[in-house]
Amino acid sequence: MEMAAEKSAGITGYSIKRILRTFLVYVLLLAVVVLTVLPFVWMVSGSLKNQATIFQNTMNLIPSEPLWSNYSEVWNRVPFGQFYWNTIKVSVLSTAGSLIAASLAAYAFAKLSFPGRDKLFLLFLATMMIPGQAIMIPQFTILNGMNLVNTHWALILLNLFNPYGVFLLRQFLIQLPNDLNESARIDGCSEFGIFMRIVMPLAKPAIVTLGVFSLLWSWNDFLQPLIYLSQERLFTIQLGIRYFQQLNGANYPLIMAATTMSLIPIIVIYLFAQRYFIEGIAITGTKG
Amino acid sequence: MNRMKVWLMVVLTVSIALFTACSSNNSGQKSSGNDAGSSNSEETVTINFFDWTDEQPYMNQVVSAFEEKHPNIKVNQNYVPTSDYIQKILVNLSTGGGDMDVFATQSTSNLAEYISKDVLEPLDDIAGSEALAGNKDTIEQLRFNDHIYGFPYRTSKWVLYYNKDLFDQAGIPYPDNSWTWDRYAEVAQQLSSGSGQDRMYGSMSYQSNNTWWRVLANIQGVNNPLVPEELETFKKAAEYYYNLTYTHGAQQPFGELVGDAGSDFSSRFLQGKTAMMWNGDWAVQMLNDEIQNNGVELNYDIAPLPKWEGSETTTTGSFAVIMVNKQSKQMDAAKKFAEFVASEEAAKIFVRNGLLSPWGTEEVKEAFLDSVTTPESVGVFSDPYVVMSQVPMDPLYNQGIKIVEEETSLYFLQEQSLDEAFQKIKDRIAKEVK
Amino acid sequence: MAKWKSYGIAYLFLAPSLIGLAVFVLYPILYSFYLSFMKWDGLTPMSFIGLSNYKDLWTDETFKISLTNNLYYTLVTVPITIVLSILLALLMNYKVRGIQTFRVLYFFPNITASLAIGIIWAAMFTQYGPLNTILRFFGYADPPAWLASTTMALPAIMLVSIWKGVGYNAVILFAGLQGVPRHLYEAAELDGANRFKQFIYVTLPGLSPVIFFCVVMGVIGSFQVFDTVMAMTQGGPGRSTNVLVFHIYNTAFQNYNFGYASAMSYILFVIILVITFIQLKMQKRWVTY
Repeated sequence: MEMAAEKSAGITGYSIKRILRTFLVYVLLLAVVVLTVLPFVWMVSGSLKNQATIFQNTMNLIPSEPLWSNYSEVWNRVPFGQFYWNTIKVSVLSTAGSLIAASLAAYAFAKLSFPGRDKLFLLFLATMMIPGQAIMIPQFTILNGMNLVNTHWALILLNLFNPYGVFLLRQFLIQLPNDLNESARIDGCSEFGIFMRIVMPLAKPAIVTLGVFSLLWSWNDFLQPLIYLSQERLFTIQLGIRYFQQLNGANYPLIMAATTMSLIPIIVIYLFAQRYFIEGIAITGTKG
Repeated sequence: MNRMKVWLMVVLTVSIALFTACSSNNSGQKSSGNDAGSSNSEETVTINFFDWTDEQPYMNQVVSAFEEKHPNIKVNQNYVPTSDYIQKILVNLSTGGGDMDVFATQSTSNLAEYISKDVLEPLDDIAGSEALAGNKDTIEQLRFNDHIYGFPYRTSKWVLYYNKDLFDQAGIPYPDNSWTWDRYAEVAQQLSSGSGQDRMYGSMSYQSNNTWWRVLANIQGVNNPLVPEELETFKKAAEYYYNLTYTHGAQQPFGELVGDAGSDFSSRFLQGKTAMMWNGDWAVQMLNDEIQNNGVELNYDIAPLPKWEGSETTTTGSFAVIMVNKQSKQMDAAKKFAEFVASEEAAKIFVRNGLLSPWGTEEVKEAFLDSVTTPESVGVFSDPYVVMSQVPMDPLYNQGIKIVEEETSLYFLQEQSLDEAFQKIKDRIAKEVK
Repeated sequence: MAKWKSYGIAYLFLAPSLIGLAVFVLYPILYSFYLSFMKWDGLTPMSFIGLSNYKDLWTDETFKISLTNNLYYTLVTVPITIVLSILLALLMNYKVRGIQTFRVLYFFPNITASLAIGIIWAAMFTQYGPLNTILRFFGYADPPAWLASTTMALPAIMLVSIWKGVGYNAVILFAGLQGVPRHLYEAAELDGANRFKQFIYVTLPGLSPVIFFCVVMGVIGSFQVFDTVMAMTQGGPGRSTNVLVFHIYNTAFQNYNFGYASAMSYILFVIILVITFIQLKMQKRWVTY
């Protein structure tokens, strides 16, 4: 649609002023791109240099002899494969848990009536204002009491309650017409049946959006794994890159290689699902 | 049919709910699952051992040797990034035993702190065992509240490292045990030249919140900032270190060494841009590894640390200690492993990796000299200079030293004066450490 | 009867979330309050010490420093991020070819982990790193010491947060821009308002609910800053980049002082609550729905 608008504008108004303005817009847009992307480019470039060259001619972004061995060294020094697997496990299970819980709750808030519904929804909204860090100590104590510290379950359970997800899905579900639900109800379909067969398929875009966000959030989370996981075999990638920030012998090219490796899966996911990210973000802001 | 589905969903929902609510009753279940070990003595017992990452290369060998000797005990090795180590140990101590049986620390102050938290198993019964008899004197040094709670398995010593080529080029004789710190500063200044990023430095500096400058106080028998009288010596050491940088221009300014860049002393030394550094025995291994395996060319040697005017040559060092979690569920196996790590057999493995051992037997000494042939004067490590303790056995030491680091780093970065820094240290220690 | 059944079903739907809410949010809030009156190292039994923790906080210099740093961080990052985001959103609103690709790129910093970003930027801020090299190239012979300076370290961290936050907020604001009714612009144009006046009288009021959302979430987020500090400065030099969550983490998990850390957490909790409450009250003055 934007393309169409742009094309028609190109045919009708061909004034110099317009061309100049478009040019200026592009210059500004590109300037922001450089600012945004440069650190990442420098990171990749640094990951292919050695300790002596990384800060010599540091803006020479294409190393003459790329040192791919930095990557194999990272892989050899710490069990990165295990860290990847742990991160995938935690992210996927957290996401699944929070999606199930959030969509069930969102359905109740959007489509069912029960006493105290609006107050409860407000309570859910209010908890979005509570920073997790303010309650991290009691959370730790509780999970420790459940014997779940040093398990991935701690992280998965902490993500079960997701007020943001409930809010996002509720806003989406409330727009859906009730006709289908009503007729299904008359046909004798149960609430769970309606939820599973009618509402969920319709809510797919919102669920996917929420899914990619939760996935991303778990993947990038550092503080919770830092607190709850103390055993190497349980570590996530965020803890893994800490191995390279050492007291003795910290090595920038290796740090950059490890960091690059931690970012690659996220970049891939983002490129495939970028539409959902951008739409999801837009929904949160404008429907608040 | 629909009804079935409803019930399935209910069961699913409730089971999610129950899972959250009920797992609190499953105490102990998780750990036995993890350990794959059982009390049955016929079967393999697994213990969890924790250590910081730097120790991985040689601890691997120690564990292999132990497992060979005790085929029914499997040691699960956990190496944690140094910067997160203390926190990880705390978490493991608080979870009740299944997660960590044996763990190491690089400082006797940490040992004291763990003792004060009452989380360690007394090891008196094996402290007198045959396997440890040959090292009884060192073990006794770690006696606290009438008990032995940890065994020293590695020791360290600080020496002076220097780049021979840079000395030759400048026509300056190599350092020896007659050197004083004044001489060191003088030579370091002579060996510094150039400007900006390419400047050559006579002396190695480190991050602004470092431990290195304290070595200059440690060799005078001073190690605890919580003792007010000792602060004066620390103050003089800090001033000397500051002057090396700013008066003599012989060290890279601390502002350039903040963060990870600052901690990488080995590559700065290997690049031949720094002529001298005082450092611990571990640096031998780091340097040799680069020279032998990665083809770096560097011609270096070591000498005893310089001395202060009017005193004898001394050095400083500390112990790495192995401890057993009081809540360990595999106590016998855990103690056996701790004993082994502190034994002469393990000592030989450590020294073969170029590390120093508290074991003073001829066999261990020989094993060290046999396996470490570079640098030439490696025998300096065996010279009988007095070794002053680098870290006191004081559970509050860590809190105090954090304050010292915060305030002196501002002095080294030229953000406050020496007097200001030490006045603040005094005030803050009085107020904050408890 | 049927009514009760339907209520029951509704609560069954809510059950997983409600349990999560109760166990991991509401109970911890109460428990945290309880812990804040205790002396507890997380290992040995706790003991009740009344208001001691709160009294100690009153004279705790490090706590004051971290609180001040945090407020400074909030007051700088939130407004600058919002202003830059509005400008970027306006720029994105130009319907030029390939604008979607730009949007995808701008959003990119936001999807990457704060820890990784902190690590990259810490390297970029070093004395001979890319940032100072560029500054020197532009004739700035004596560039700042950034993370080695007590005055520049916190601004350096702020810079990273702003850099990370602008793209995210711009996408939200861009979506908000699409919601400003077109006819309002047309009316303003008829009244002879130039582009700047249109922005002031049409765009900003139309966008105000979205801006409000960004400010509220931005303030809450700014009190949670941790990963970047951990990766870039560890609170230093000295205590110049010590912020609240970092101080809480250190107190609890490095110094074994769970009770005292709980008291600090409670203060953090109350601060955020109060600020959010004030913002909600104030919104009537400037937010138009």
